[in-house]
Amino acid sequence: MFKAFVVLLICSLLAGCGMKDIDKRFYVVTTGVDWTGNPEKPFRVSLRLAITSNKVESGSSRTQIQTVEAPSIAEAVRHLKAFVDKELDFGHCRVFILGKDLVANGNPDAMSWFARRRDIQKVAFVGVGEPDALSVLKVTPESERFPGNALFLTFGNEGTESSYTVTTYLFDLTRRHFEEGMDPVLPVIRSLDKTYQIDRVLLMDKARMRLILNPDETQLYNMTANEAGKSEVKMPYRDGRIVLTVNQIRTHTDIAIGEVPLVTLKVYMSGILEESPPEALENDWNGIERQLGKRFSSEVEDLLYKIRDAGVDPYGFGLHYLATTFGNKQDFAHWKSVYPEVRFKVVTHVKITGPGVVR
Amino acid sequence: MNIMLFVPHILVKDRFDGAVMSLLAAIAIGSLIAIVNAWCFQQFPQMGLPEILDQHLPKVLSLPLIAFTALTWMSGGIFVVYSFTRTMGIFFNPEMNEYLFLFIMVMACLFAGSRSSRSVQFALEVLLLLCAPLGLFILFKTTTDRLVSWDAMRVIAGYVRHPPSFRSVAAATFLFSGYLNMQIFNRLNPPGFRLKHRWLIPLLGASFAFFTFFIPIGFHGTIGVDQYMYLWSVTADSMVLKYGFVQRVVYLFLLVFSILSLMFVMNTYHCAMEMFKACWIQYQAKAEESPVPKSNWIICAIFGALSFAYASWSNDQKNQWATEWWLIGRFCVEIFATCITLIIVYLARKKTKVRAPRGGTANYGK
Repeated sequence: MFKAFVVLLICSLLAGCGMKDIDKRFYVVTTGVDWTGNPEKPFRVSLRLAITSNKVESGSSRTQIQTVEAPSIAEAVRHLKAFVDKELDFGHCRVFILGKDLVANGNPDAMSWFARRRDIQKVAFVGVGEPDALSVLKVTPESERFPGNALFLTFGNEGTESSYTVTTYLFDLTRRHFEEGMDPVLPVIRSLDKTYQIDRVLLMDKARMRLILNPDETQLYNMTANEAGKSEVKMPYRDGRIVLTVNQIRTHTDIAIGEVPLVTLKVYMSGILEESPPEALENDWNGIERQLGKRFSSEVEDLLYKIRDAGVDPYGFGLHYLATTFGNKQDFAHWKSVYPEVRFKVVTHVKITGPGVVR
Repeated sequence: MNIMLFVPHILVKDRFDGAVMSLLAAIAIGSLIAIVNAWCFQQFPQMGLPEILDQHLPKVLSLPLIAFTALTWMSGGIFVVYSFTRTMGIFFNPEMNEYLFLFIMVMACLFAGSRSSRSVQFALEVLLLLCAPLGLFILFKTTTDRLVSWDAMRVIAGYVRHPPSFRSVAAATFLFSGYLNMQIFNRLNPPGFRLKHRWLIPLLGASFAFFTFFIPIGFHGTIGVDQYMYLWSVTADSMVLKYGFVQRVVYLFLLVFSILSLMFVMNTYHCAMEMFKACWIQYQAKAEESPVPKSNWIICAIFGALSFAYASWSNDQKNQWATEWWLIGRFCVEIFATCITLIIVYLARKKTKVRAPRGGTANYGK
C-alpha cells in the first residue's frame, strides 16, 4: 500500500515538471537562416510556426513567420521566444533553409547549433534558399494540408519523386563537412508565387559555395551520385527526339591508381522509351541503346570535369580512393594534389526493356 | 549494453591509432577469458564466486577479493545509471529535473536488484527476449540504409596495421564480460551443467564489436564521427522510418536502450549486493528467498544513495573520464580474477582428483 502511494507521488511530480501540453507549444515547421552582412548581427533567423487547427483539408494550413537578427543562431532563437505566446518546439522542424548569401559568405562553424540541439532531427532536410531563406519561408502553397508539409513531401521521395531534387539530410551535411574526400551538396529551393522550384543543386567545398548546377546537370548528378530512378535520358534522333525513362540505375566507381588516377564510372540503367519516332526502336534496338549510352557518358564526363575544375568532390571520389587503397593521410594529400588533373571515364550500359504500349 | 559505457566512443577516439587492431585483439582475449572462466565455474556447480573463494582460500585473502569484486560491480552500475539518466534527460525531456529522473531509475533498479537471484535471472531472460526483435530491427535498418558510407568504414579498416592501444583493448573486451554473471548466477546451475554453444561467444562478440564500432563511422564519416557525445543515439537518429507511426528510429532505439540499461543496472546492483552480503560471517547463499530480507533493501539503498552522490559530482566530461578508467580497471581485474580462478581450479582438482560429472540437459542461464 505504501509502495503504491510512493509510486503515485512520483507520477504526480512528473506531471508538474517539465511537461507542457500541446496547446502551450508552438511547433516550428521550417527554420530559415540568412546572412545579413552586418558584422554585429550576421544572422537573421526566421521560423515558420504552425498554427494548429482541427481542419485537415488542402489549403487550410496556416502558419506564422517570426524573424529576428542576432549574433548567433542560439541567441536568435532565445530572443524569438519573447515574440510568441507559446513555447517553441523544434521536434517537428524537418526543413532547414540556409540563405544563399549565408552559404556564400557564412562561417560554417556557426552552424554547429543544428548538430548540437538534441531535439533537432538528424534526418531533417537541409536546403539553400534563393534569393534568401525568408522568401522561401513566406511561400504558402495552396496544396498544403498540414503546415509546412509541402516541403516535407518534396524531399526524400516521400511525395513527389523527382530526379531533379537532391535530398540532403542534416547528418549527411555534417558528415560531408568534416569528411576528407567528400564535399557537401545542397539542393537549391527557389520561391515561386505559390510553390517551390527545387531543380538545382549547389556544390560546396568545406567552407562555402563553389558551383550551382543547372537543372539538366542536376539531374545527371542525381542519377549518377544518388542512383535516382524515375529519371530520363534523351537525345535527338533523326527528325524527332528519343526520351528514355530510366526505371533502374546502378553505378559503380573504379579508381585506377597511377601517377594521375583514372576514375571509371560505370553506369547500368534500364527503362522504357516514352517518346520516340514511330517504329524507330524496332529497326535499330541495339543502335539506339548504344547511342543513348554514348551520349549519356559524354554528358556525365563533361559534368565531372566541370565539378573537378570547381575544386569540389561531391561524389566522394577522394574517399573512395582512400578506401580502395586503404590509404592514410599522405595518400589523401597526394590525392588532393592530383585531383585537379584526375581523368574521368564514364561507361554507360543502357538496356531498353520496351517501347511502352505502342510500337 | 556496451553502448552506454562509451565503449564505441573510446574506440572511435582511437580510430586512426589502432582501434581496429584493438578490436581484433579484444575479440581474441575476450573470448579466451570468457571461455576459460565458463569452464572454471563449471567445476563448481551450485557455487558462486564468494563460496568458491571461501572454500579454497584463507579468509584473509578471500574477503578483500570479494569486496573488491563487489566494488567493481557496484561502480559499473552507478556509471550506467548516470549515463542513462543523462541520455534520457537530453533526448526525452530536457526540462525535467535530472535528479528526479535519477530517482525514478534508482527506485526501479532498487526494486529489481534486491530480488532473489532466481527472480533476477528470469527477469534478465524476459527482458532480453523483449529487446531482441527491436534490436535486430535496428541492426537491419542500419546495414541496409542507403546513406551508410561503406567507403568510410573501409578507410578506417585500412588502419588495421597500427598497433593496438591498451585503452581500446580494455574497452572492447567489455563486450565479452557477460560471463561475469556466472560469479553469482553459477549458484543456480545444477551439477552437471554445461554451457552449450560456447562457440557462439567469439562469433556474437565479434559481430557486435564490429557493428558498434563501424556503423557510426558509416553514418558520420571518418572525421565527423568523434564530435558526438552520445554517438549511438545520434546514429539511430540518422535513420528514417518512412512507413510507420514513428518516423525517427531514435525513439525505438531509446526504448531498447532503456530496457537494456535497466537490465544491466539491476544485474550489477544484484551481484554487488550478493557479494557484499557474502562478506558477512553468518551468511548463507540462497538462490530463492521470499520475502526479500531487509539486508537486500539496505544494501541496494546504499547503492542508490551512492548513485546520487556520483551524479552530484559528475558531469559529462568527468563521467567519461571515470568510465574510461573503470573499463581499464575492470579489464585488469578480469585478468587477475581469471588467474585466481584457474589456480583454485588447479588446487581443487589436486585435492579431489574427481571430475565433476559431465552431461545433463540444463542449458538455461547462458
